[in-house]
Amino acid sequence: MRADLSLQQAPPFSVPARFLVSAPLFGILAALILLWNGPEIISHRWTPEILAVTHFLTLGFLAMSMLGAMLQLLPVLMGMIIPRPIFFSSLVHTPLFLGSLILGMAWLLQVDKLFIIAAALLSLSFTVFIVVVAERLLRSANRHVTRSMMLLALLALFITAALGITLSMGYGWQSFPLARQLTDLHLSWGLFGWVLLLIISVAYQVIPMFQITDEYPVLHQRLMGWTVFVAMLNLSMAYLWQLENLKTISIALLAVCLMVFALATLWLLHKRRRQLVDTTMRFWQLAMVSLLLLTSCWLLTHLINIELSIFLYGVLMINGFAMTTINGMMYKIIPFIIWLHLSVHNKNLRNKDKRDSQVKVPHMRKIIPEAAGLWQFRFHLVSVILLIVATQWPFWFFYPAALALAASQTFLLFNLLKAVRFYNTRLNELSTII
Amino acid sequence: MSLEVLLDVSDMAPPEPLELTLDAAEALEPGQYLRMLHRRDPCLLYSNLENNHFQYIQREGATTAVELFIWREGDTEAKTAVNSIINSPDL
Repeated sequence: MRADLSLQQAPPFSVPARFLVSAPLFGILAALILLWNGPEIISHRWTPEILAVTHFLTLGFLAMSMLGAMLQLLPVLMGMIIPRPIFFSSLVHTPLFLGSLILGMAWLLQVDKLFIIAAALLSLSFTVFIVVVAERLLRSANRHVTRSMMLLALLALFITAALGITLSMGYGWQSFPLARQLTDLHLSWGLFGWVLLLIISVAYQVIPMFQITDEYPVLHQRLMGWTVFVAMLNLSMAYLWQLENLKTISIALLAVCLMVFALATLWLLHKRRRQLVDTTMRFWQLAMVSLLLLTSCWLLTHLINIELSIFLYGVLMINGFAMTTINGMMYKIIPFIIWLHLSVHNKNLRNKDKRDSQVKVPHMRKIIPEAAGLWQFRFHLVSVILLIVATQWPFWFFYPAALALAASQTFLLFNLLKAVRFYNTRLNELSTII
Repeated sequence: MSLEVLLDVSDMAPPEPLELTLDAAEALEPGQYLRMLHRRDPCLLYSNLENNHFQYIQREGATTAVELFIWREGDTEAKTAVNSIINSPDL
């Protein structure tokens, strides 16, 4: 017999689930816009359609799933408890969902006022999230490096959002100057500040935990977050005052950080204690290979002066690295919280002396079957490869890449919904018994 | 009957360490304590132990990063045995 499990440190299932299930909807939406508009939309980086697609992916998929994952991981990893989690998550999720959707629509429909509405909704969502989570992190007794890196990531999110809202105002109000020179800064803080820092901080915990590897080297953990952050500060100064040398040095420093993180992760996974292969590990490996390709491309353009499409960097960072990592993590987060909640509900039955009525809680790996995750990984891998080649040869590969992205995201949504359905079915069985 | 029940979960992925530790804790006989070896700090375990009226001491292990001693609340014999190990100079 097992001692009782407590949900004291886990949020209700609906809290992370609403974010994680919403994410692939935006992935599908992005793919449909690519399919509808065709390869012309990557003729240059400022087409409204590509800006809509980029924000569906970065806000709708990445920010959506990262905020949801944080709400699940913070209590479990850091011992933090978010007060009134359902109310809090609604206050963050609803404006983020609507804000992401409306921002994309603002570009697609070219309606200025929609930019203002989107900016207001997204400001609300990010402000509430940053204030509450930063306050909890600052008060947390946990001194793991993940805590300080998450705080840096939140600061980067704040800077990204502030820059984004300034840019939105420029689109929304004719009298407000459109500060397009801030765009590079906005996307750099978003992708290399917020996304990179958060993923690294979480990797320090979840890779050793779920993949059963050694810990990342202590020096690596201590230096990585601050080095990335300092590189981003330098990059900001370089952008603001047009300092080309400082810009090159900052990007080189970032590239070194990316390479060190990618190589360390691949090494840890290679030397893992139990040589089991699971779907999440494949996603991590693909994400790290994407980071290495990203830094190699950057080096190539600087060393031998090759011109590569700006979209190649975007695909490698957004689809290859960030979406891949998060996609893989979803296959741990969702089954874990389902397992935990069902185990606790079983406990309630034991307390009521109804042991015979307990539902069988399957092993975590069975909640989303390994084969389903693996097939979705294959679709995702194909989409990443096709998107990469489509940036160079759009005429041949643009449509297959968009189709593969749509297929992969639909498959992901299907897998997540199946897990949610599994949870709800078991919960209903238990409710009728209790 | 041995006072110590040894459980090494250092090569296991979540939620196995949590499940097995709670199972083993529940099976403790009077006077017995559980010595759990893990490669990480089992954050989620602590509140579950407290809610189930177990006490624990955590320290750095000799062979693993974390060593956790767990006994039933009010079991003075088990507590004394744990304290003697914790205070032992050769460990």
